[in-house]
Amino acid sequence: MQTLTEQDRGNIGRAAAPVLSVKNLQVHYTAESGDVTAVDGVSFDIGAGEVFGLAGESGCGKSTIANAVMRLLQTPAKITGGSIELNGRNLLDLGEEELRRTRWRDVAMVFQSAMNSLNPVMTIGDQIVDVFTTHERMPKKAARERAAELLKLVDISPDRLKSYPHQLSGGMRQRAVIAIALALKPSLLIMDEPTTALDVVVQQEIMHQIKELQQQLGFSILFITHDISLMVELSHRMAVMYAGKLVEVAPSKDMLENPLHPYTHALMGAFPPLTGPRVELTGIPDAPPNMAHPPTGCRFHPRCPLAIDACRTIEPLLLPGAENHDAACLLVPEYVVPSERSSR
Amino acid sequence: MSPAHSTSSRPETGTGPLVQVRNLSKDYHLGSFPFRSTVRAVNDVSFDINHGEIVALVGESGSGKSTIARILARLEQPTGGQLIIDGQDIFATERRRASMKYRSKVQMVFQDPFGSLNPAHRIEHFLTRPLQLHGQNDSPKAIKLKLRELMATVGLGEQMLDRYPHQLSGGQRQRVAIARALAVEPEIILADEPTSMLDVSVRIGILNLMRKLRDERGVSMLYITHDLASARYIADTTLVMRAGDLVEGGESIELMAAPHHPYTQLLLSAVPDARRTQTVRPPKRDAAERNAGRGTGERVALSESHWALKVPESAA
Repeated sequence: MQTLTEQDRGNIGRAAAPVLSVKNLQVHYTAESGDVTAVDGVSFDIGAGEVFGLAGESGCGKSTIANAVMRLLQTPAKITGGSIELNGRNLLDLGEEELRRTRWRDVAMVFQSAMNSLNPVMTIGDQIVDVFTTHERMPKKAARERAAELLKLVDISPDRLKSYPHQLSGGMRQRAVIAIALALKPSLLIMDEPTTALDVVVQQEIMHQIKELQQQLGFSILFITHDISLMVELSHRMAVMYAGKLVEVAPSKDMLENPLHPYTHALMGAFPPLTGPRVELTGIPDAPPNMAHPPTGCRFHPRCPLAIDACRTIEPLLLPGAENHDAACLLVPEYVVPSERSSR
Repeated sequence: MSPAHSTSSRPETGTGPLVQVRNLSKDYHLGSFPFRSTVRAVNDVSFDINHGEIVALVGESGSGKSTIARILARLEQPTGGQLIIDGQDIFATERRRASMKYRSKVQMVFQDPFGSLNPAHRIEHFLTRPLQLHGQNDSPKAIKLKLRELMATVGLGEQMLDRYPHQLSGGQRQRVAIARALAVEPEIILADEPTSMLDVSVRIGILNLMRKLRDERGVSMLYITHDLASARYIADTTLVMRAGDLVEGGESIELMAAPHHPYTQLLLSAVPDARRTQTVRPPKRDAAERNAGRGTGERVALSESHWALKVPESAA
């Protein structure tokens, strides 16, 4: 039996603590026309082995959150408030050198159109070996062996170590990128629209593989997509984001069966179903707001079919609307846990 | 080969189908001597599009669906086969010069609304040009009137005419592209993945607009997509394509409720479905691929409005 590594020991003590804890995160972009608040007071936790989904339209701030967790934001973006704790350490306090060591070892990311993020003039093998030699100072030969194992993990034959990215199909490249992300066994994997550029059949293969790897290795996932069906299939819990704020957080199945926020409702209604009668869908009218001048009150009110006068002035808070189910909408009555009802 | 499937005939203009594609093939030659190789992008494809019908052509990247659109738009010359529109064999009788007349019947809407509108021009320009080129020497006043009507049809305000493409959202730009196609009053619009680059919330709006144009103006559409759910949503008929072959076709709802060909089944099972209760292991892709389109090319009629390519005995 191997002795426990430092990380293993840490994990045991933290069984119940979240892997990632984002609290009141604020991200601003400085623009000529004034400051834009891209992420406004977002808080959420991701537990060990949990798959957490983040859904919303383009420009709502979901990729900004991913980049903030990786500490990849560059000017004009700036994290102006809140904290991002990964395994109990606030990533916002880390210096460059500590960050360099944390990235990839503790948190890795599969980027949007990741299949194009491989270096075209390096073989797949060299790119994986790089991870081990850089982060683990592993001798080349051992690194090669590990690289072969990693490729096997994602169902790619180790012969492919000598292949260049262009010699692989899109799906294989995407799997290779996932393998590279998992090379150092991070406790959190961030995936930003990992399959948008792929065909449905390939997408399904990749999603299935991610699920299997997640169960096998037990890492947590922050999964970002605009495809709610795909998200519900993969994630345990999910949040819906609108104009820089979380508007609903719930276990995925609950969210699907009983969406509380009108925006979630609309977003789910934007996908035609594959079964049942053909009914006319309405989608969501108009476009998301200009973030330089977000609407007052509830940011969704100009597009909301249920908006009342109060929505124009009062900003709704993210409060429980049902058990384990938070929503930020004035029309959702606050839910009180039965045991606490009497004390109120 | 038996004539392509026919859906319920619509008693609108003309009697026969608007578009008849017969045994269409397209080969691409790659490389140069002595390493030449040929890729068959479209293999012996036949189908009809009736007046006022929306036909969806679905398949994965590289299945040849866009090649078919490009041939129909006369941007490509087919290697073999016929394209008959309104009873006229296009490639046999029409000269390249006749393309103006052709374009007034057949218009395209492309995938990328960011690339298909010249950033240096105002929206007004995109809609005025086709009216001037194809119209009947309308007076500036008449053109103005038509512009206003076009914008209203696609659900855009008149004030947008003075804007530049970069001032519009993706959905608005795609609406402009559709208005431009409509300007010449075409009989059919070829829409190649018109929604795939748009945000989820605006996709439905574009699909609804396409259906409205069909319902109100009787414009036929060839809707090319890899999104089966959207094909089911707007198309009367869906055709499934794989590696150059049409493997199955039929009334959209019927076809997706009872897919017959292994490839159609594979495609449908891959669509994410939040309401699926258990994890589905992806079917073996190889088997479905082996079975696809490598038979005799014979079609089996499953019902009056649904057929599939015969699957080789050994594979089934």
